[in-house]
Amino acid sequence: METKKVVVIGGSGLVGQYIIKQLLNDKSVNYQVTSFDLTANSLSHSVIGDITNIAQLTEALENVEICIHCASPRTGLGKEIYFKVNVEGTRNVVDACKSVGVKKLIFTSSASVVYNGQHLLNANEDLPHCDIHLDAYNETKSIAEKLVLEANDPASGFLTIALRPAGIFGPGDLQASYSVYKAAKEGKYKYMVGENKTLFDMTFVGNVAHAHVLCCKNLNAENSGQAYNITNDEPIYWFDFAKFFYDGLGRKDSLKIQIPFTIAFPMAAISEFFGHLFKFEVLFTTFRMTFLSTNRVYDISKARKYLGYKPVYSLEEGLESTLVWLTELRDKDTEWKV
Amino acid sequence: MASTLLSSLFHPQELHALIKFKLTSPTQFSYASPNDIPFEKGDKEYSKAKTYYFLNLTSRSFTRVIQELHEELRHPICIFYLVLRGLDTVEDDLSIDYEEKVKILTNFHGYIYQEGWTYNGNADSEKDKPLLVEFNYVIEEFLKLKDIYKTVIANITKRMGSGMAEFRHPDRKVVTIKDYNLYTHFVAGLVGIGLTALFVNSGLEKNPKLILAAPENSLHYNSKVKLDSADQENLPNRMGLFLQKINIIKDFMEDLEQGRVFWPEEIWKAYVEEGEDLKSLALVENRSRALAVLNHLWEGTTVFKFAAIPQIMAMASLNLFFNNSLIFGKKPLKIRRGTSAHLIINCCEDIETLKKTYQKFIYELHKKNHDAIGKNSFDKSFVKIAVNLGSIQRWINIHTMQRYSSSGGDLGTLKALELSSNTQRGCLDYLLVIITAVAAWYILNIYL
Repeated sequence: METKKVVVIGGSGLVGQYIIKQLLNDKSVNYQVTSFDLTANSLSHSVIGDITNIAQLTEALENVEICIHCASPRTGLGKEIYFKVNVEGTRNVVDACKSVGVKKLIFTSSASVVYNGQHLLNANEDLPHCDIHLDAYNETKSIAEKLVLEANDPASGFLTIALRPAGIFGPGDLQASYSVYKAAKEGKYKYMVGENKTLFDMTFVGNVAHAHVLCCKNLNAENSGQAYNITNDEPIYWFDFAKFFYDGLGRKDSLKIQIPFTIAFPMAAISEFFGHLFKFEVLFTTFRMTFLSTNRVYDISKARKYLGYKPVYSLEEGLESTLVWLTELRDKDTEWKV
Repeated sequence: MASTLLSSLFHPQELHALIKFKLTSPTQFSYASPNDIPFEKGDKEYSKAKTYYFLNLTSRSFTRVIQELHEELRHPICIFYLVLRGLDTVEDDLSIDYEEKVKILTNFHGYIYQEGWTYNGNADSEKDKPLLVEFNYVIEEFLKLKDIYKTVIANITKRMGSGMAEFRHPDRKVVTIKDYNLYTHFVAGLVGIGLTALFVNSGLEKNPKLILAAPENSLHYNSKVKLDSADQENLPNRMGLFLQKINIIKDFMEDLEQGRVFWPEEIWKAYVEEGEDLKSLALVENRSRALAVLNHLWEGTTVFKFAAIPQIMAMASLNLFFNNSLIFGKKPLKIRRGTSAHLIINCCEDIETLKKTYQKFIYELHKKNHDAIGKNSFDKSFVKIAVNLGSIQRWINIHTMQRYSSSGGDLGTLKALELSSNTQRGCLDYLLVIITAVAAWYILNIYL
């Protein structure tokens, strides 16, 4: 059996861990996996290192054939950290790969690089990156994606690709899924903004990982140098996603109070204003209102056609397994009030 | 009529539609009894008039739709309907013994070429018996049709007859979902396939997708463009399946009383107690289990691009049936006639009104789905239904988007378009409105 050396940068993160599991489960190729992250994980051989340190990166990538780069800070942090990790870090990864002769670089980008508050009804990859991004996360992801794709050089045997998952969720997800958990915990589950008529692509992390593993095999000179949308291809109304978890966590009377956008937007703006004035963290922001009021649906026919991607977990399977995780979390949570 | 009007009393738009529907009803070819036929036996026009009398006799909902068709298609589709109705009358009649029934079903496509063929073997209680007793008139009119129409009708009759015969075998039951799809393909999917072939061969329907979907024998069929065989008849077939499955859901009690089971065992078995059969779902104490099965039967409804009226009726019924325990009750559950009149007149005009109507139904279903979750521990269909509603919504959105973007460049986005979400981000401009400031304080108190 073929043996391939793979380094997963961000191997201790949500997507990274799923990628490592799937690589190790692959029966057709013997992947020798190393995780490169700030913390070690129990799944594979781990190198503890910092993406902003090019010497550490270069050392870890020595004699490696495939580099998967899925490291990124979580959302809601300061601007500097995004530029440091997403932009400088990614530039380091590209440079290190080139200097030691890595053959394939697979980068986890984000479907948000084309989103600046407009409706995305079936957005494909022809859509240009936004000129002005909604936040620093999107902006730095966009810069990083361009860095990776520009480095693609089939002539000298260095292939790069960017995958753009939309709305990743799953067990261990501290963003979308956990935010619903938090709302359920803190009693905010009763409110719904708008009429729940906007669709979102929520993508199960197992499918995101699957797309990366596919690229380890199917990335070639023809399909490289490009970005690909990755979703479950089962868009769902946002509050259906939330309702499923609320109900599963025992919040039976969820989403009973509806706040129309016409009221929610000015309210959010005012609370932001006072937030700035009195320096407190505002959760009810106009950014979130914009997010909730626009459709975010992506077309994945390009990935289907050129990568052979198709979702291997249904949305239902993904939601069920995430609920199991959230339920365990709840049962251990001493602050949870029934 | 009086009770129909009464049931719509509190729905003025339905009342208006009912009256309009009645007033605009076409009188041509509409014969309520044989005495209304203005020709004598033996007249050239007599057999044609007789077929429209039969149409009136055997169908309430199709009569109107068929009469309003373009004249090129009206007669072929009327005959197509009557031939299949004849077949169905044999299939349905429990008094006909198995051997004889199979013989008739599998040879029916031949009988329609035999001048003068009739059948008297139905029980007198069979409502549509008169059609087969005087089937010679239908055959007479069938033989006058263009060859291509005859070929299509005979072809579908043959496939449907043998399919019905297969499922009449005492050991052949609807067990798996595959069976369910196959049975509904025979009795309804084939109707969609046949109708598509008739539409396309009439030259009236020029939609290339439909032409591709039409089966062999199509005059306009472009052999250079081929669909996968699986896709070839897919769209019309699935539309037929959708409509028939709604009927199967509706007729649960009636079929059960007649000892017939069309709800697939593969689905309901998981919900009944071990050793119990489908009958147990009709018991009051098992209502929660029964509702869970009902919601599980809710099928993926992709996109149906033609025949708006039956589709919208089916959507309206689906909306009514969803999580509705009356399905298992004594009285048949049907949408009000006023509702159907309103839908036919106001909601099927063009693709835009059709989309709006679909939008309305999926929104109502979505609310019912939210109400249903967590109420019934047997029912696990929430996500499946949510995903299906999402796929309809997505199709509507894409369709709307494509209409608005004439040039190819910006297909992924649409800024100016007023979407279903009705977001009004412009309202930030009204930030200084004092009332909202009060509301903001309220929210601040909740959230911080």
